[in-house]
Amino acid sequence: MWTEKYRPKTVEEVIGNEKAKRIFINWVNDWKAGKAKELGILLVGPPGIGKTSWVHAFANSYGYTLIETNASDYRSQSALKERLGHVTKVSTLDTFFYGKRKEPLIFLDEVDGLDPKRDRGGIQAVIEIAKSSGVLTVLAANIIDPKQHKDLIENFYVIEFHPLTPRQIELLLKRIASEENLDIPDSKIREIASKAKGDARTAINMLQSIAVGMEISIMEPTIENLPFSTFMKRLFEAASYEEISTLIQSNINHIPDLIQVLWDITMRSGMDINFLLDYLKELSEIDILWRKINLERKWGLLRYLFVLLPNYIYRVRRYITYEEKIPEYRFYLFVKNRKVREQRDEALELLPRLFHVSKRKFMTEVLPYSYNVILHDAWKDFREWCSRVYG
Amino acid sequence: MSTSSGQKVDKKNIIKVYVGSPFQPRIRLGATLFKSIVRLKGVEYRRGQGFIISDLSAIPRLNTLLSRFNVVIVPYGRCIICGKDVRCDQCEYLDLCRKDVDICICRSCLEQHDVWNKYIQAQRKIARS
Repeated sequence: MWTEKYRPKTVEEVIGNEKAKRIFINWVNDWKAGKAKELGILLVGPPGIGKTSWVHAFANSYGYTLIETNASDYRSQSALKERLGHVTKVSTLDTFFYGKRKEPLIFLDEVDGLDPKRDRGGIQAVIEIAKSSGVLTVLAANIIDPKQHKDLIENFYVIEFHPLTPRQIELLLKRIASEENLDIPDSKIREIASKAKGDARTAINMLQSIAVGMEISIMEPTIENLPFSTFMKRLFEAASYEEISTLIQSNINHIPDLIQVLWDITMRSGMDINFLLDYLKELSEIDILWRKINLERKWGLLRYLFVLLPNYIYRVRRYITYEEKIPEYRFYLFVKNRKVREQRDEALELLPRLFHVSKRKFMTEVLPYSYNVILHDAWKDFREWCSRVYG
Repeated sequence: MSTSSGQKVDKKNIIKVYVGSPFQPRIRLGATLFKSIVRLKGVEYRRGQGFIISDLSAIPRLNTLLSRFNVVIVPYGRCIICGKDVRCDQCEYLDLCRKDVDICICRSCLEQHDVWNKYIQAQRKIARS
């Protein structure tokens, strides 16, 4: 893979994010001098923009021994401690092999995969390891939730990495094209730079595909971390079962919402009752399996889910079309208008208590049927919004 | 000199702006206009320094507000290889690029044969300084 072959080896080879890189080096200098308040660094940014490459190149250029772990593989406190708990400033064997002592650098990728509730103690373990080892610790995440990952934000110095500019991508592609002796016209390179949306990994993969004769028009940019609406649209427009399966596997975070939406559209489909029963039975099995995976942390069961779920979608979409109608429970996420959002929050602060129900129950069971009566004129915008959504 | 919208403007009426760096519009704005500009998303004002643009998408609205003074704000980035100014509004990727970019690569550097080596040399120079 060219993404591995051309992974930067020194800090000079890392393209883009000049400011973030400077801040990173300055913080490490402060940390070495004992001036840094935080335990380590947390790099945040979308996939394919060079976070991991930067840490690799930094360790290589500044003489650190990289101890890399993916947080999604070691999620619990015990697993993390077992893997990294023994690391200390003097624990590497470089003195024996290279004659000089290299300091270790702990790099924990994809820490946003650690859920403070489900992966008990995972985040705390990361903090403890950084604290007790005295080793330079770098974490990386695609998205950080200020509520869920509060402890990480408080203890680590957050540095944001941004997508590359199209011209930076062009530079990267030109370098690879010249080293691989490829004769690719500039127009093609510009097309890739435009389509990659700042994602260097996608751009390199596109170039490699072109080199073996594929056309850009059939290549899709990254399918990871899609917004929910795009993800749904792509699922229902997918050309094959394999495409549906890949989309689901690349966007696991959307599975709970996906199951809810599938329930919603199956119920609204107006199918024959026998058909509907069959489909609901299948969907309930998927739902139970997903909950089991989450409650019992049995990740091995995902392999069954990755077959059942695409299969359900592949079959059900023959009978129903996906309308972008918002299921009631999701309306929290979809309000883009600030005025409506403020009025909604105000109403939700007051009304569920009056009705003696939880907020969720109020949203799903009370509001859709009585918004016209219970929302007075002070919440006019929210009422209009409800009428648009609930019809 | 012409702007991206094709409007012809005298060179001295063009105000060069770099993302994240302060600039002074060199005109008397008045309180109302000043407030309108400061309220724009992506524009802030620092006393003693001037306006700072953090989001290039604010520039069309800023130019509309300043149109009666016949001045035009033109966004620039700096080329990381040669250090020269790069005009953002004439870039072929204008609509696809991020709106908070201050460092870029100019087209003339990008067209050069050994652009990668020059980039590495420029990075080394920056690291040394």
